[in-house]
Amino acid sequence: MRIIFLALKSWCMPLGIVGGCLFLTSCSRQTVTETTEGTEFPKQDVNLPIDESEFATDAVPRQEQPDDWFRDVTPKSGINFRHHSGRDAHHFTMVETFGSGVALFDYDLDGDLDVYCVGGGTISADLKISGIPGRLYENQGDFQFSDVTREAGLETDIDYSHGVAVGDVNSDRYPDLFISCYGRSHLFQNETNGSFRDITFESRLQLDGWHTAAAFADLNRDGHTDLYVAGYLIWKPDLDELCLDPKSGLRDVCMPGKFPDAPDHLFWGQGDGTFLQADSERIGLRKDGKGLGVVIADFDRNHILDIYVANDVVRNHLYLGQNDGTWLESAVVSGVIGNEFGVPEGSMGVHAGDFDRDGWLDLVVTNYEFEENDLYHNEGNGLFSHKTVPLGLSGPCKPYVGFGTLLTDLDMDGWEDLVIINGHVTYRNRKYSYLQPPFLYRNEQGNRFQNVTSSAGPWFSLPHAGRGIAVGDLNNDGAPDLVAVEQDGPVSILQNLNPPENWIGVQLVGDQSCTDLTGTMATVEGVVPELTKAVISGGSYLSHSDQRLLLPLTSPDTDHIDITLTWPDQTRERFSQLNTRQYHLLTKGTGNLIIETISERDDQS
Amino acid sequence: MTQVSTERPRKPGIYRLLVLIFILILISAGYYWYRIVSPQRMYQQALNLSSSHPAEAESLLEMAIQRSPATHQEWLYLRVKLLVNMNRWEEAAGQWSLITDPANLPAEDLCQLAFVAKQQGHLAFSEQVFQAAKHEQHLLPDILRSLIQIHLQLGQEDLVIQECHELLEIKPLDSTAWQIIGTVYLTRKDFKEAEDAFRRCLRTSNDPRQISSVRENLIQSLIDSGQLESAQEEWNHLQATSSVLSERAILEYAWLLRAKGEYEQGLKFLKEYFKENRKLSNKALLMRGMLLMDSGQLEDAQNDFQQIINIEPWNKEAHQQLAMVYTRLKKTDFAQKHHKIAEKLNNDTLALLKLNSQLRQNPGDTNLRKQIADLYRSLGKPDLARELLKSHTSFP
Repeated sequence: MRIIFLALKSWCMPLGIVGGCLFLTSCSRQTVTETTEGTEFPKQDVNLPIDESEFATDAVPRQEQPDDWFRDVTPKSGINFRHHSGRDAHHFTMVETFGSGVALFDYDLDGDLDVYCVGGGTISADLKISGIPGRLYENQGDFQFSDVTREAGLETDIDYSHGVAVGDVNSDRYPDLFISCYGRSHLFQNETNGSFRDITFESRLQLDGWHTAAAFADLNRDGHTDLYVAGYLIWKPDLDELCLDPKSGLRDVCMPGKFPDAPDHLFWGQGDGTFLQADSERIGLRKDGKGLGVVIADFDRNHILDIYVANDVVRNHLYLGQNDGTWLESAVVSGVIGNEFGVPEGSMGVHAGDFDRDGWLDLVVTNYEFEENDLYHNEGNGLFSHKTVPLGLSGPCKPYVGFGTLLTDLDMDGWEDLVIINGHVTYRNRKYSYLQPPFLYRNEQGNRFQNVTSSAGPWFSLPHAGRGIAVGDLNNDGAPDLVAVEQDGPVSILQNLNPPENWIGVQLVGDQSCTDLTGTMATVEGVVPELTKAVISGGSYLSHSDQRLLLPLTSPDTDHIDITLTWPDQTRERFSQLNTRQYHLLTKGTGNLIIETISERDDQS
Repeated sequence: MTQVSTERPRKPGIYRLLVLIFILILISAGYYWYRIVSPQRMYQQALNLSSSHPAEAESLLEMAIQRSPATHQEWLYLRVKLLVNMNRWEEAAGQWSLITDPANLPAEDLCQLAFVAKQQGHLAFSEQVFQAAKHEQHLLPDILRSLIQIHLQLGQEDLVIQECHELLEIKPLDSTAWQIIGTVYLTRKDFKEAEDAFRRCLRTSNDPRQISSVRENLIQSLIDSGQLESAQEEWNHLQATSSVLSERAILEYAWLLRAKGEYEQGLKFLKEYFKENRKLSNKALLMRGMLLMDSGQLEDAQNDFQQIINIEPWNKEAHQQLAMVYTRLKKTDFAQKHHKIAEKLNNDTLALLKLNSQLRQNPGDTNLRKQIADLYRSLGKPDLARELLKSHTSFP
């Protein structure tokens, strides 16, 4: 019986071992995880069909309440778009899991925002991956839209599409469309007559592979619009590819760590709709990274645009623009590679905004399940501090897979709020449901974010397979509305129910020296703390938001205000006595030029 | 004359035949003695010598096994035990593999052997021997417990969970099995499963220490899965039922307060708890530093993180947090320096996880062991490095 005594005595040991593991995890709360490999499963048909009920919900949205922020007006909007991923072919490909984005832009320059929904694609039984054209909806006012895809020439052959970027590539003021794809990405030039033409070939943007997020901006300050495109994975469809859910042993989509990174690309715009590919190595771009989110803005306020790339599974990248025409990748030293312990995460969405109105653009990044979303506060000098936990963003969002995100002032109180939409990507290997709840956080004057999802509106009461989301004032009432797109689901038009009492909106127009206005700062005079908004490009997830600047005015009695614009070429102009409660078209060179060098102004500040 | 001549040659023929038969009998007897009696004697001799002269006994036994035409399971088993006794583990494992039906061996004896192997860090061998003893029902719970320990050490978490469930079928009230299941799920970030297992453990356990420890795990699981309100409820319960709170419990609560934005309260709470503890642990310093940083007391936070780094230069969390303090103090160079150190340490940790996973597939790869040992040393864990290099089969 000695052995029994020994065994009983040794029962404490596993507790010691697991306790040790726990000690390590509780100490750091990091996200370093190990993959489970080599697990053996009983013989079974690994191709058992997925339980389709996981992809839908029987739940009904809650009733609308008087203090709701948003109303879902999709049913009567005339938009009946549904994204299609090709999941129904049951090939469990990675490409079918990433969904798509949406763009809000005024394609016909009629003064209101139109909606473009990226189509996704199909996957055949023999694993042929094809694209579905996106849909363009023209805004008819009062949240009514009409499908003009055919008339606009966008009902055309396209590869499997994910993301969308909007920019003026040929300097004619009309916004052009770039669609990132698995396969060949496409560039559609706005013909200024309500139609688009596929100029992929003649633009020399022959971009094959798997590309996701993209953003236009004049990165080299030559007056022409350039294009940054994030690469995701080097992957080809393979009928023999088989990845199993480590728990059930059944087939599931593969995880991205299994495949090599696809490099990002930068293309120099020539101003005539053509591009030249930049020498990535010379200008300082890294070859690694599995990019899913891109945002372009001037984070270090050196008047040279910077690029932030949210990478899946591996560290994120921050390219700070240098005076010599190169970019210095600084994510590690800037403190923005991953979580608050510096561990890389599975990052998807990204957005930039100045949440505490200190004049420096901050960053928000959404991540995979059980990784907190990251809110990085810009401390200046290219350094950021991780503020997720101290600002109250830890907790409820954590179990979910975050995609689209916006740091934008939704209640028009002058403080940028935060919206995050979630949805899972894998069919079996996951810890929570496929459909996941969206979140809305109200910014409490830059000190903390308050979870106000329960009063966000009925749409927010349901789980979704959230992917892209964009913000823009669809009815020009001064209240930003939201458009969200779901994986294999509908696009939702969410009307902001609380238009501000007083506001002003500006649409910026450049000149020949300055076609793209990313980086332009608008400052409302006489507001404390200073109210500044910057034009950013890209952001959220595979989407493009309204680039007009919407500025809330706290005093309801003000009928006229002055706005100072700092253009990307560092010239400053004041536009005086602008009427409030409306949008203004402010063209570079038409305001009162303020003779003051930037360095003087910076010294003052 | 002819009669005489015919009788004489017969006699030598018979004699020859008799001699031949005799020789044959002798040969058979010799063969019998050599292959049957002598091995048997050797075995008996070895058996007698096994406790006093194990080396001699083992040689005899080896000879006996070689000579014997039949396979004697008990001889092989005795040799395994002798080899184990002499610390010749690889030979013992080889000999063990020749035993065709180990389940017929005495279960208690097998358990003893397996236990020794486990104690010596020969986990794979120990596991095989324990598996052979599983047929003995009355020993099964303890065998399962031992197997759980082995599989935990080998990182075979799926087997751990499976064996815990097997154990729970026999001993439904074994709260420790639920605790282990919960902890494995917690380390895997399967929070739902972890929470369920911890709650089951709490329902079945009568041990106040276990209850406190499991409730701490549950609180961590709830915080990590974003259920801050439930975590608060469990904390209230823990506080109400525990006379003395462990440091971990205190730190979990401080983390909870931080997540809820109540930094000042968190600091006050830590101060109150640690007022009698002159020397704070590094974990407590890290927690206090983070709360100090959140509440804007940057110099104090810097001191806490610096203190940790002075003791543990490899502490990546402290480097990362110190970088953040320097960031907020606008000390760019220092911030960048510590960010870089933290990144290197993180990369080392990731490499370590990857290499350890490879080692589990190839425990005999000595180069891999050396690489891992180097990483352990650089991460400030020389004891783990030593343990890893101790044998070709052990895992730290």
